[in-house]
Amino acid sequence: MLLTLFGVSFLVFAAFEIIPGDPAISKLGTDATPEMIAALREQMGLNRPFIVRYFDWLGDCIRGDFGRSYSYNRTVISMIGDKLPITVTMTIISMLLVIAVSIPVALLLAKYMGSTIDRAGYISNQILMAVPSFFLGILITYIFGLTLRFFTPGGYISYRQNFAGFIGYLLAPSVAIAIPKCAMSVKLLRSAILEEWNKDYVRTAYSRGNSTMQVMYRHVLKNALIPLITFWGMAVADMIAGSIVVEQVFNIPGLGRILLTSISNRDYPVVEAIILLIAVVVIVMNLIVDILYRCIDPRISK
Amino acid sequence: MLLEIKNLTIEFHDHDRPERVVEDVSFSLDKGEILGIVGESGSGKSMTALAVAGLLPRKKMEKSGEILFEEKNLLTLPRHDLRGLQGDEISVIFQEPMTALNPTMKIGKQVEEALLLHRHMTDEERKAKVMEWLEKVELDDSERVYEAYPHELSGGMRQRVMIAAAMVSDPQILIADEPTTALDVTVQSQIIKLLLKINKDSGVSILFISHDLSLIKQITHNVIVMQKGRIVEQGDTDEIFLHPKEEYTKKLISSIPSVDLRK
Amino acid sequence: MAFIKSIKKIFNKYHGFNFNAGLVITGLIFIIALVGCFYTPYEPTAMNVSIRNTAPSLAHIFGCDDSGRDVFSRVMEGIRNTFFISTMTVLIGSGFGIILGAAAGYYGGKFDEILMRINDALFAFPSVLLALVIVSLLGPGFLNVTVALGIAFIPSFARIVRSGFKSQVNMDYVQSARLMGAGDLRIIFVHILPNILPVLMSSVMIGFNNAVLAEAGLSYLGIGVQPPRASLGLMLKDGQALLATAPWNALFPGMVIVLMVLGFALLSEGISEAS
Repeated sequence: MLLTLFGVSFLVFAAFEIIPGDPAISKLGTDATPEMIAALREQMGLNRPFIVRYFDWLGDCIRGDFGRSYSYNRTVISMIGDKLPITVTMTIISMLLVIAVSIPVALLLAKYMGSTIDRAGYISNQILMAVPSFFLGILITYIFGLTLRFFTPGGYISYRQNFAGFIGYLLAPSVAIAIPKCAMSVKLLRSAILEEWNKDYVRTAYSRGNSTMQVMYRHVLKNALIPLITFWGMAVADMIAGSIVVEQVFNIPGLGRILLTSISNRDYPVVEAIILLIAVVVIVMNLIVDILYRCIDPRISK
Repeated sequence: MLLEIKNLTIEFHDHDRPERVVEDVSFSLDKGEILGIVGESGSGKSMTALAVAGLLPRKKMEKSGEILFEEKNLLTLPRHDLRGLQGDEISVIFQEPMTALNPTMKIGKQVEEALLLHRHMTDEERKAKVMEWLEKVELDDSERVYEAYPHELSGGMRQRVMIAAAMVSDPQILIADEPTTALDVTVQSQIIKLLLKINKDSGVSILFISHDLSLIKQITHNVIVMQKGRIVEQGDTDEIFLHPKEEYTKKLISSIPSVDLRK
Repeated sequence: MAFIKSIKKIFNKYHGFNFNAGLVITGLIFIIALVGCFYTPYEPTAMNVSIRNTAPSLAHIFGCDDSGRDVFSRVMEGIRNTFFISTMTVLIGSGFGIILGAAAGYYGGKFDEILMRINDALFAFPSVLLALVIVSLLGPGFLNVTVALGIAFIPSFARIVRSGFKSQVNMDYVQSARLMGAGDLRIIFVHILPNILPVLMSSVMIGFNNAVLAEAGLSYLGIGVQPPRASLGLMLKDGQALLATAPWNALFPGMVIVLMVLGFALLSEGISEAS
């Protein structure tokens, strides 16, 4: 796992090394004299060998020092630290929505297996899975923001000003991020339940006098959730990526906006830091999934 | 008479043409009796057993006749009342101990489930009862088994667990649907001995389903021979094995590998 | 030959609802894309100030945008561009993915180990994000987005192909082909590849599905297809500003994206259902 992180950090650093374009030039502008550029390169430490700079950078990152932004006179950590709570909150709300909605819906569809409800559920699931979350965001803005006026599009409220208002404003984008993942969870969970339902232990449970509801909740649900855990773990990374785009729809100044401005400004320290951060999140999620697996499925343990 | 089956007929309706899997089957089971049902696959023996256990689906299937237990017809009994009997008065053990247990539930929880559903007991009383039965089915180290998950046990141990889970509520009828088919020969004979002992100690009636005539001969008092959904012959086990009347029974008996000669 | 035969087999095998519905939707969109190469009702870039932001009508069935351009014609061009980009993406992704995955799965050993380590590291990233990073290295634009997405899609294809090869490489038919003196390349492409084709086909469809989504996302962020070229994502971005006055600018391109993604998803579903 640490090896993966090491690999990612190396790839990130190397990738930004091989690109054309000198950050010293882009910082000073094209009319800078060669002497000025050389001086700045020296000051930024760009003249040392690649490997040395990599380990320096990695060591700094581990200590929580991601360097200074090329474009703004601020440390990267202060730029990101500000915005991180926004993206994190949005991802958490989306994840909670996915779990809270998909389990009951999948149970409902499995209960009415083969009926009209099930077919309608299947079709709407397929459609919802195909809607990109930024288009959902636009639809939500159009329907609930502009037509029904439940919220003011673009009226982001900072968590420092009003925390309740902040959560309230994040609700709409979170729903937009959650819906496609939710549809996919429902589909996976429904088929997992049906698969479990054909297993022998279900008959055993019935033979002890369990009702259908009891068989579902005491026996089947836990087994059916096992494949879902992997999916949810992977969905977190997707949701962070989705939030970068959806932030633009709702005009939220989160990680996505810094990432985009940094990309267009060629502000590499910031881009590197964000990528690395997301990599850490992904790896930590894998770890959590692993631990959850061990808790829910006794067959996997060393 | 504990259980009486009268003219049981079962038809599947999920294909174009209805398919009769059990036709006009009648027999009875006395208290403490071990009754064997023997037949090849497709003879309807398992269907009959599942019908008695109330485990056949209600849809896509038509059942007629009567299954009388304590003056109640299990075929027409409301679902809720049927559930009250399942696992309490009528218990089942299945062929595949590997898959018949819930893989993510501790053994103790699975064994105590019938008590949880049918009896009002404190946690301590339940655990005591479960431990008692884990010991009765001759599981060593019953404390460890109580906390174990199914995958940590061997096939023979799991079948013992199944028996404990079926017997924990002191049922009157135990339906054993090919309980030893999936097991090694040595384990098989241990399980058979265990079932005989339980029958003797607790007086539970056993409906023993098997395709294995030599097993049936060893353990049952009475036997029913089935073919293509119908009863071919029924009666006292020793009598039938000595003097089979029907051609089909004779053929079956002659095909037994002669276990007795090897002894 | 074996290759074509197994593709034929796949098509003969699938007649499910999902597969047919997917085929109809994708076919329809493909035809629109094809027609869009030669004919659009109006010039997609032709501006006409007198019909700015007019609502859908018979003459302009999807309405007009704020420069008076015909939205339907622009959607046609957008579909064409999206189709092109996603096809190239899937070709690059699956091409390199097959080569890398087949080599890793077939030869195994150190090479497999190293390749899969790198692959795991990349796979951990959502492909949109990976493409975003690559675009930031290459700079925005039509071709760069295609390349970026193609590269971003290699890991997932490599992973699928590798596990397919891993499961086949020790089978009897491979051993007997080897005994008969078939070379590695022949075994990889003639013997094993057709056997993992159903899995591969299904993931190619998912690949299309994801490529359409990713392209739309990148264009929406303004780093994909650049104006004045039309792209569905770009139209959504521009249309969002007009949501209050001329919602058709965003709604129609969005719905077309949904249809495209849906079509590919149903196809993939239909293929994996039948195998």
